[in-house]
Amino acid sequence: MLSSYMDHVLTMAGINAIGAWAVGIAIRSGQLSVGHAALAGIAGYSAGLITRDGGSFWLAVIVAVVVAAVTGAVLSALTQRLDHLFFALATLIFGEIAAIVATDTERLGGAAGLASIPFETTLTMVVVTLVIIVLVEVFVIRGSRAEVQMQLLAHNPSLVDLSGSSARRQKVVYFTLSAAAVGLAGAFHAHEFGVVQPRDLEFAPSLDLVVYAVVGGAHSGYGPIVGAIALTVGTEFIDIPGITRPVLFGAILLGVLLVRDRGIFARVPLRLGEGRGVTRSPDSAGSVSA
Amino acid sequence: MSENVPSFTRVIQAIVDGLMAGSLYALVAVAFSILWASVRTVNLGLLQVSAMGGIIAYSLSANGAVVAILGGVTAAGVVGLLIHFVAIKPFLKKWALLPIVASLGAGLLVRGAVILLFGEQSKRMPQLVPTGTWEMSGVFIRRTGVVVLVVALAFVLVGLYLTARTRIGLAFRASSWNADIAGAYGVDTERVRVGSAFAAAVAVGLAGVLAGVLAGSVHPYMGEDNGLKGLVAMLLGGAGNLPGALLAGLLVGMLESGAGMFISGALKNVVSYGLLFLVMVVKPSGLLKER
Repeated sequence: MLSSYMDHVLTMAGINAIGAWAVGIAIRSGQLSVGHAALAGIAGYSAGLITRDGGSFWLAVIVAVVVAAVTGAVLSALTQRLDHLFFALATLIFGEIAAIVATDTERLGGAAGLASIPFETTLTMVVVTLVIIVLVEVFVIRGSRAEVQMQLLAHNPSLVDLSGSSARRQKVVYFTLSAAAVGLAGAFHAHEFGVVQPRDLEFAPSLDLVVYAVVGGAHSGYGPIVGAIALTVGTEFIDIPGITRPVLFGAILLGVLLVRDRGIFARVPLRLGEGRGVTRSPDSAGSVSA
Repeated sequence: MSENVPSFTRVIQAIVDGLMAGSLYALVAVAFSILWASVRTVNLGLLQVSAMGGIIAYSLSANGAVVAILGGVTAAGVVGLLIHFVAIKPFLKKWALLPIVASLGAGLLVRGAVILLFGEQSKRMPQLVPTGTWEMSGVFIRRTGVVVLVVALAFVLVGLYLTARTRIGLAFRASSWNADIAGAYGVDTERVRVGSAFAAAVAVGLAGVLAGVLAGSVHPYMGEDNGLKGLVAMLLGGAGNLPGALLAGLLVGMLESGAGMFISGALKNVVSYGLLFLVMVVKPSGLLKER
């Protein structure tokens, strides 16, 4: 049997992996979100409100996923006219607003957060979810239309429009999927810690998810998962005096990007339309200036 | 502000307070706009550079206001250039999201260094400029606020003059319009980009110092509030449009202080972020036309 501490660390690693995979889906379809922790937090609050009063855990999980998906769909649909850079900014502002509203809402526990949520999350649940995600990646997404679509959305959305479908609409679909996944992570998170706080919604935890995804390799399905597990477990046991977690993350992020900008574990993405401006050369495949 | 004050006076008061905060947003907005015009990216590390400028000015404040302000601003400029070379430039020809993510990472490092050197807690900023309050028929005007407003506006107006009327500005505008063609006409576009990165870092550093002066305190997380509102002001003014950034910055400041005074003090930040979000959704190209 694992010690309860080890159990907690691995559960957290798994929850972060689900969240990072969600952020990866958004990034892969060209939507850098630095507000995903807010989506997770909103899901966590929704789930916590149900289970805290004795409601069923699985009902709460479903509600959390739906709430996150709907919020994500609305957020994405409203901001599709923004350039990717300003899209990122909009998600950031969304997170700040969510955190402020949570702080100012008495019913959600104010700044102290929503407490006394039952501890329902188990390592098994998280592992099963991750296994499902990996199976979906390997058997559903890899080599499918969806994978090609996401790459086009990220690197050349006008090709999607030219092919007769709407890039904006497809982006909303992927963002909704991503929000649903991070909502699941948020529900697990709330029932692992027993509390959801406004600072869980802020920019810093959102950035953590982006770091996991980008360091692991945002363009591959399993990169964010490996990145999240490696960084969560790694930082739990590496303790350099004076170096705080954000600093370590900043250094790792910058270092990895400078050495290998696709992320550590990413495979080279499909070469779409080689020689026609979609990709440039093997070493910069999948990274075309917009 | 008591309830029996005539509403006209309160409006004037909101405008005065809004202009003071707004001049800082304008400064940040102009910085990001300069960067967008020539480098075509957003350096999110500048939020932390801004806080660093304020804290270095605090640490130099024993040597007088001039040394403190110049020191903070210079340090910001140098660190901003460093971020440009390490986290922005290597990624410019690659995917557009990479410089943003990398600059966020660089920002974490800058904040980490600041916390390591100066600690995490908030510090009282010594009075670098004259304090006190003028009263004019019920409207209170803080002298620090006036100094902040004048310094920020002077910096922005000098920047506008440089870009609009000088040869350096011509090079800047030409490479902003089309870097390739400007290069073909002999403009050293790389120098323009580096110069813009430095100017932007100096501007946000000054904003950090002035924010410290205005609030009377500095802390490592102070860059985010001004920085985010400045960023959105840049967008409202039309990315790359410097006069637009100036006007939008002042407008955001006044909207926010008006919302704080007439709607709800507690929800001031929600109101201002909400308004900003609304404008991003409704009119993403900015309120003014891009040049």
